[in-house]
Amino acid sequence: MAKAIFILVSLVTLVSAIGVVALPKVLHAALALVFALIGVGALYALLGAGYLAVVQVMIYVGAISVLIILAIMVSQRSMEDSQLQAFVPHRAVTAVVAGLLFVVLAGVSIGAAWPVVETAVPPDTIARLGEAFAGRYLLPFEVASVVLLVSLVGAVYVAREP
Amino acid sequence: MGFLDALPLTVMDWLRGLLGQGLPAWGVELVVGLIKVVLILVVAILPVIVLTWLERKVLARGQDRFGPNLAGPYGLVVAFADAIKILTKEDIIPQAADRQVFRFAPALVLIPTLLVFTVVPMGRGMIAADLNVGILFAVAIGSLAVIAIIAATWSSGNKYSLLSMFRSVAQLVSYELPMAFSVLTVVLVSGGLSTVRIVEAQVIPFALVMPIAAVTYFLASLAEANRSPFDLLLGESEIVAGHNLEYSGMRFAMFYIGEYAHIFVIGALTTTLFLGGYQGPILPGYMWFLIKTMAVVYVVLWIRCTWPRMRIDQLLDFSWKLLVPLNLANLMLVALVFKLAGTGLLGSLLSLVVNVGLLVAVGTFLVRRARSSTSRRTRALVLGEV
Amino acid sequence: MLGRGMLKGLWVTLQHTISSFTSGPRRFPKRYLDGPVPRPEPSTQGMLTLQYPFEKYEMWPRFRGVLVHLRDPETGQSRCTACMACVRACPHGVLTVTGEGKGRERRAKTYTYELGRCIFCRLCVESCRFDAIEMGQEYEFVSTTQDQTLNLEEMLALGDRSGIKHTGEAWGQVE
Ligand code: SF4
Ligand code: SF4
Repeated sequence: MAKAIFILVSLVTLVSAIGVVALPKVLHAALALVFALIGVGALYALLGAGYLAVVQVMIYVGAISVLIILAIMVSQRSMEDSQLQAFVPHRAVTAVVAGLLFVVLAGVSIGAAWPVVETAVPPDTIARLGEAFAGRYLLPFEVASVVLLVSLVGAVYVAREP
Repeated sequence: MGFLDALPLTVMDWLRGLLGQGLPAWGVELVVGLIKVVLILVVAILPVIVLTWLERKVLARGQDRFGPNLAGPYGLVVAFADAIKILTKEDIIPQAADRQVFRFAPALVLIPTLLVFTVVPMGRGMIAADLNVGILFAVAIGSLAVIAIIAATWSSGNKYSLLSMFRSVAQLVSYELPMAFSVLTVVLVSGGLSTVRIVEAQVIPFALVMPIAAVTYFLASLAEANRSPFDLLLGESEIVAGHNLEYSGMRFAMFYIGEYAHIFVIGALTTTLFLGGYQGPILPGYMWFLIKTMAVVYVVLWIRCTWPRMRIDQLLDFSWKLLVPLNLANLMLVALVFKLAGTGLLGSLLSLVVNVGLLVAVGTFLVRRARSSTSRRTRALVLGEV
Repeated sequence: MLGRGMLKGLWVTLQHTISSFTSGPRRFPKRYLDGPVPRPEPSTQGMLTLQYPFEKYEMWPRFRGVLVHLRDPETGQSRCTACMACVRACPHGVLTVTGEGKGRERRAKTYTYELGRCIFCRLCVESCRFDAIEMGQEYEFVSTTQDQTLNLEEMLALGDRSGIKHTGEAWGQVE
C-alpha cells in the first residue's frame, strides 16, 4: 500500500519536474513546478516528516512559487510562448554544465551512506525540532535569519528610488 | 461523554464491526476511509446550499428586504434553482484562453477548501485525520488557494482578470503573515499544532484570552477568502468580478461553491482556534461546533452587509502597519505572560488584561500621532475627520 | 475614529435586521398584506417594500387606469348612447362602437376597447357628454397581441369594481 502510494507520488513529482524544464509556456512550467513541490512535500509526509511536508507546501508552494510566478509575469514580455527559445544559442554549453551537475549530484547521492533508523519515528518531532533550533543549532539558525534580514534590507535599498 | 455526544462514533464503530465480519482489515479501513471522504464532502458542500440562501437572507434583512421568498417555503430551495440555472448555461472558453489551464483551474479552486476539513474537529473524537501538524496544515493548504487564482486568471487571457490576480496575490501574501502570527499565539498557549489539542486546551475560549489574535485571525481569513471588506479582487464596479470573469456554466459554479465553502471554513477554523471548538455545556459537541461556526458565518455575512470594500493601499497599510506589528507585540507579551503566570486562570486573565492594554496603548498612540499630524489622509483615517 | 464608524455601521445593520422581524406592517410571521396597501409613512420601521405581485398600493383617485363603463343605477345598463364622440376624440382609434335604437332609446350594442393601443390620455372621457365612461383604477392589462380587447360587459364589471359613480368625480367636475 505505502509502496504503491510512493510510486504514484514519485511519478507525479518526476513528470512535473520534467514538465518544469520541458514545457514551452512559462505558466505551464510554473504550475508544473507547483506540482513538483507538492509532490516532494507528499514524499516527506510518506517518510513520517509531517512538519517538513507542511512547511514545504506552505513556504515553497504558497509563498516562493507564487513570488516566482509574479516576478515572471511583471517582467517584460516574459510570458510570450517562445520565451524559452532564448537559451538556444547556448544549448551546448547548457548541456555540458547540466550534465556535469548531474554527474556530481548523482555521485554524491550514490556515494552517500543513507542510514536507516530501525526504530519508529518519534511522535513529538516538532518539539524536538524546536528544541534543536533553540539549543544545539541556535547559531546556524540565527546566522540564517541574519542573512535573510540583510538580503531584505538590501532588496529594499536596491528597489528604492535614489 | 454522553450518549448523544458519542452517537456518530458509536455508529462508526458499529459499522466497523459489521464490515469486519465480511472484509479483511485493510478492506475495512478502505471503506471507513471512503465513508470519511464522503462525509467531508457532505460537510463541505451542504453548507454551500444553506449559505447561498443564508447570505441573501442576511443581506436582505439588513437592508429591510425579504430576500428570496418564492422558491419553496421561505425561499429555501433557492440554491437548487441556482444550480439549475447555472448548469443550463452555455460553457464558453474564450479565444485568448489557455485552454488546458483554463479547464483545469476551477478544480484547483475547490480542492484546498475541501482539504482543510480533514483537520477540523467537528465533535469529540470526530476528526478525519488528527495530524500532529493540524493547524499548520490548514494554514499551508489555505495558502494554496492563490495558485488556483493565478491559474484561473492568467489562463483567462483577460486584462481585468490579470488585475484581479495582482491584487489577490498582494493581499494573500500580506495577510498570511498576521494570520500566521495569530495562529502562532494560539499554538504557543495550547502547546501543540494538533487541532484537537488546541480545542482541548481551551477551557476558556481563546477569543477571551487573546482578543487581538482572535480578531486578527478572523480579519485575515476574511482576506484570504476574498470576502468583504477585502473582496477587492472581485471589484464588480472596476474589474468586473475579476478572477472568474471569463467563466460560465459549471466552471463558474466551481468558483461559486468554493467561495461559499470557504466561508464555512472561516467559521470552522475560527471556532476551532478561538471559540473552543466542540466544547460547551449540555448540548453534544457537534452541535456546539455547528452553533459556533454558524455564529461566525453570520458575522461574515453581517460584515458583507455593512462595510464597503477597502482600497488596495488601505488594505496593505492595514496589514503591514497595524496588524503585523500589533500581533508581533501581542505574541511576545502573551508568551511572557504565560511563561510567568502559567496557563491557568491567572495567566488567562493577565493575558486578557495585557491584550486590552496593548489595544488601548496602540489606540492612544495612533490618536496622538494623528492629532499632531498635518496629513489630511492620516487625520481622516484615524480621527474620522472629513 | 479608529474603526468606531465601522462598528457603528454594524450596529445599524443589526438594528435593521432585528426591526425587519419585529416592527413594521410586515413583521415576522406575516409576509403579505391583504387588500390595497396604504402608502407607508417615511418614519415607518421595519420592512417597507411593497411585495408587488402579491400586494398593491391603493391608487390615487385621479389615476388613469383602464377605461371603464359606468352603470346607470336606474336601468342597470351603461349610459352610453353610441353618439360616437369618444370614437372621434380618440387619437388612436382604440374604440369601436355600434348602436341600436333611435332618439332617446338609442343604446350601445357593442363597445370594443383595444387595450394594446390605448395611451390613457382620457380624451374619450372628456368628450363623452352622457356620464358613461371614466378611467378606472386597474392597471394590469398587459396585452401581448394587438387585438386584445375588452367588451361592454367586461368594462361595466370593471366600473362596478372601481366604485366610480360619475365621470369626473375625482376632478371636481360633478355638480
Ligand atoms: S384614453 Fe385616449 S387613447 Fe385611450 S381610448 Fe380614450 S381617447 Fe383613446
Ligand atoms: S361612451 Fe360616451 S361619447 Fe362614447 S359613444 Fe357612448 S355616449 Fe358617446
